[in-house]
Amino acid sequence: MSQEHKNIRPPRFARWLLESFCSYDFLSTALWDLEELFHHNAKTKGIFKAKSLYTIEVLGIITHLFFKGKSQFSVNKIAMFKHNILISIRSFKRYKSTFLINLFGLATGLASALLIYLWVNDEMQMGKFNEKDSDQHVQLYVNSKLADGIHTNDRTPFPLAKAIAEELPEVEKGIAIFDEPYYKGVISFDGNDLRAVPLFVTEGYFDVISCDFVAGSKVGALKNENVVISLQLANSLFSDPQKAIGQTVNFTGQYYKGPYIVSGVFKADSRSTMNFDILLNLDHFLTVWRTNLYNWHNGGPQTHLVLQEGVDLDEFNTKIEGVLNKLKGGPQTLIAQKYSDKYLYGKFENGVPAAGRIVYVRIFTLIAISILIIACINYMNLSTAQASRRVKEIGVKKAIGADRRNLIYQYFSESLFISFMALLLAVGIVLLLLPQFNVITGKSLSIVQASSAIITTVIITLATGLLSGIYPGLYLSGFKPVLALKGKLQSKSGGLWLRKGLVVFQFATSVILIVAVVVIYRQMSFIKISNLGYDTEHLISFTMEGKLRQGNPEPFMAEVRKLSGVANISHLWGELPGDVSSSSGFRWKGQTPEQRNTKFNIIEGGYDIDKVLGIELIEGRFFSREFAADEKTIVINEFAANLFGFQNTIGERFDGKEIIGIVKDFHSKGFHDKIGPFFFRLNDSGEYFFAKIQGINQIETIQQIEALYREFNPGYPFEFKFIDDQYQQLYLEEERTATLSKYFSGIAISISCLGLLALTAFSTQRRFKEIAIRKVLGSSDFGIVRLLSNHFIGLILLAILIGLPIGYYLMQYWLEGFVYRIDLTPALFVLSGVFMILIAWLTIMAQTAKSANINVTESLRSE
Amino acid sequence: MKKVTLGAFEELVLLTAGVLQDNAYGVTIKLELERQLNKKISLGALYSALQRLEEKGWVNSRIGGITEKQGGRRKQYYDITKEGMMALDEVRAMRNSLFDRLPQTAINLLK
Repeated sequence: MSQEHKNIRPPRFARWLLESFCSYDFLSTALWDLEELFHHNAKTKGIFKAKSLYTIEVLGIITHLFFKGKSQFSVNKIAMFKHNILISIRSFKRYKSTFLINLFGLATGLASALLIYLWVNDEMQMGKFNEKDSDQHVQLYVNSKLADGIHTNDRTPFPLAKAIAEELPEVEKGIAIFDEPYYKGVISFDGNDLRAVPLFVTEGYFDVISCDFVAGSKVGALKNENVVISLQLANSLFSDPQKAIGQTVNFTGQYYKGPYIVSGVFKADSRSTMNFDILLNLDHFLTVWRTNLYNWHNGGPQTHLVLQEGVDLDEFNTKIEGVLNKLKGGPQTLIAQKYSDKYLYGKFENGVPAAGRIVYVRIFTLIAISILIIACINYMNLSTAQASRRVKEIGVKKAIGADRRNLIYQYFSESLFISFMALLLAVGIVLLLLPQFNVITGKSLSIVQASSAIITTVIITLATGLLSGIYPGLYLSGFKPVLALKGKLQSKSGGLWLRKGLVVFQFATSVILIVAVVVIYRQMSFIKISNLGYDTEHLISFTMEGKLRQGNPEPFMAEVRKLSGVANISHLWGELPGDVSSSSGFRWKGQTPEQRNTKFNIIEGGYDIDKVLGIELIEGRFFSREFAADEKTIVINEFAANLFGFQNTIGERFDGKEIIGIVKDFHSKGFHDKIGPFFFRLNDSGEYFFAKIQGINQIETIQQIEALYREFNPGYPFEFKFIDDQYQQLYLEEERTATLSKYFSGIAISISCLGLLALTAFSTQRRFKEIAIRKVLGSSDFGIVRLLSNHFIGLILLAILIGLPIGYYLMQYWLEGFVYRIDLTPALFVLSGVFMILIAWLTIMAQTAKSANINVTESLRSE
Repeated sequence: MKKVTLGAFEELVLLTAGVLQDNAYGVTIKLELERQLNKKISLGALYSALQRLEEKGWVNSRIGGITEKQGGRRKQYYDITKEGMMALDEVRAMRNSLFDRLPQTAINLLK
């Protein structure tokens, strides 16, 4: 019984809250009533209800005390808090420009931080939607040691998933996911043909990767001919996802063709990094359509594993290193990476996971923090610089008994007050800018979407308020009352140094950001203007499939060539820019043993592909219809020719094939990748047609090609791409970084300059009399401007000296991600420095020039 | 001097305190009012009304209960004063006189 009674107690938190706000006498009265009420409620309504009612009553009492109550019933805190807010509002009103600069600075700072937070948060969520996430879901990669280091590939042998699950007890489940772009096809239902990207997976797929079904059931959804299609596809083919279930569709691609039964419709998750429209059974595909693929030597699907609970990834990695050797033989090793890390750390260097998109996440987090700190520094500097305006207030307060803690408390409440006002403004700014921000980042962020955003925002705002208030609070509260009342400010040199240091920090950060923007822009334009080695202009590609791939494409190409708008057409295996096939283990004369492992890119295409792509021939000749034996010849690039080191390359043999020509190097993948050795081989089939068209009437020309395509290849949609657009896509991420860093640096610099403007304005105002006397004594306007600005210009110069080396170091790090990059020349840094000086100088000048023109009599008369 | 007025909620609190006689304190007043008005009344609102009434001299507070203070708690009773009764009476008289002046047609609406 007593045990039970003990549990019936009012909530402690509410009681504590009441105790900290009420005066003692009133508290004891309220407590009696509250407790009696509590026990009454506990009996009639239950303990839980009684507790919440108790809390509500307490909050009601506090609200009444705060807004309507008499001061003798509440503690001093409430009265002081009200008083502090009142004093703050009065000082805001009196010094409007300072207040506005502070508010605007903090609001833009908070808004930038919020936007970046939303973006970072979204990046962190990418690829993390699977239930089995945490540490158990891993993906396997194959490491192969080649002549120029270890290459990591996510294409693993077909039997691996099954074999490794049987081999190792740590593996709970293994599945294979085959997403080869070669295999895209056309799905047809009731005369509707749509292109669809397939994903071939083994049956355990849904146990590993989460998938939201809109219709149908997951049980047996991938059995044999059963397929699961995307909601988008279901809507376009059947108008209603429910109607799709059980329907037979035709799905045809290069290596498969046939009726499939729709067993389910899924809704794509925006956090998924895999892109597909239709899920098919991989085992069915391999047994019915591609019987020769299933072996240990073909590079095939991704292998995903679910590990047993408690398995350590590092230990697991040491264990699987040699597994591939045991299962298939050969020197290749395996490495596992947590699937949830793939998006941010997806780049492998020398066989181990290195950076990836995480670099951008880090860069922007750093930018957000810098902007916030810059805004906080503005607040600190302005509040302390204006200490003299409030020194009497502090003196009076101290004289009537305020201790230091009260004053610190006052300045913190003031900075928190202004921070939360800035937050309101910031949320408005974010709402306003979010649509534009989404366009730049290519995401669909929303402020309500991230539930954690609210808590984080409040924490960021609190931190901003506290950080801004800490220095003014400590500095201002330290004044000695007698001196303060006399209006004398002790000029502690320490305080002055700190303020100067903060200005230097602000501008050093701005300099770093300027350097970053300049370097990023230079690098981007370098990439854009650099010669790829082939001509992407007016070059289009479209898929080669159906009859055109299985049969002879020559009649079609001959018709296309007859069009007046077409310069030439050919075909190729692989995409440009993008992957072409590659292989190693070739032999040539005079080869060293390590060179056996050299990886060669192999470009298989038709006649004239050199002319279509605009590749320059250095020596020899390209394939020609006039030479019947050209199927057994190859054309190599300069890089390969240098590697072989033959005296006379033409006519030599490479892996038994005659070398007939050498072409200039070109970047097939873009500038992120190094040029390696490659060779051309003649093939009468391909994956894509490439056509060079004239610059004029392009739409008409493409329509003519489309008409021919439909005539020769009915049942396949004609979809074309401009290669130069595709090439721009490769650098989308860098373009976005460039645009965003431009805007955010602009914001950082504006906030810094606002602060500088206010500081100069303040310090010149205090020297009005001095300026007037100097003018009376014959000083020139220019002399006065110099007098007033020298001090600040010195600080800016120091900031530049500090900022440039840091900027150099950081940008060096960023550029390492590019194989072909600009040199960081001194000119870049001189430019950034001069730019910074110019902006700062203009800011200072705007104020000082005004002061130099003051009316001498006016300013001296006021005494 | 500003005329001291009795607000509508204050009037109800004062009346209830009078009705409850010796047993008028926070909880009893609250529960009684809630029963009469059929709506929730927060203690905070009640305390501010009682404080105002006390300042105007219409209620007196006294400490009561078993012991004066018990574990930091004490029971505070409110007794209506003579002035309080007079204020109530005044309000009532004023209301009655207004009501008496209502035309018969308006009173008929009640029926």
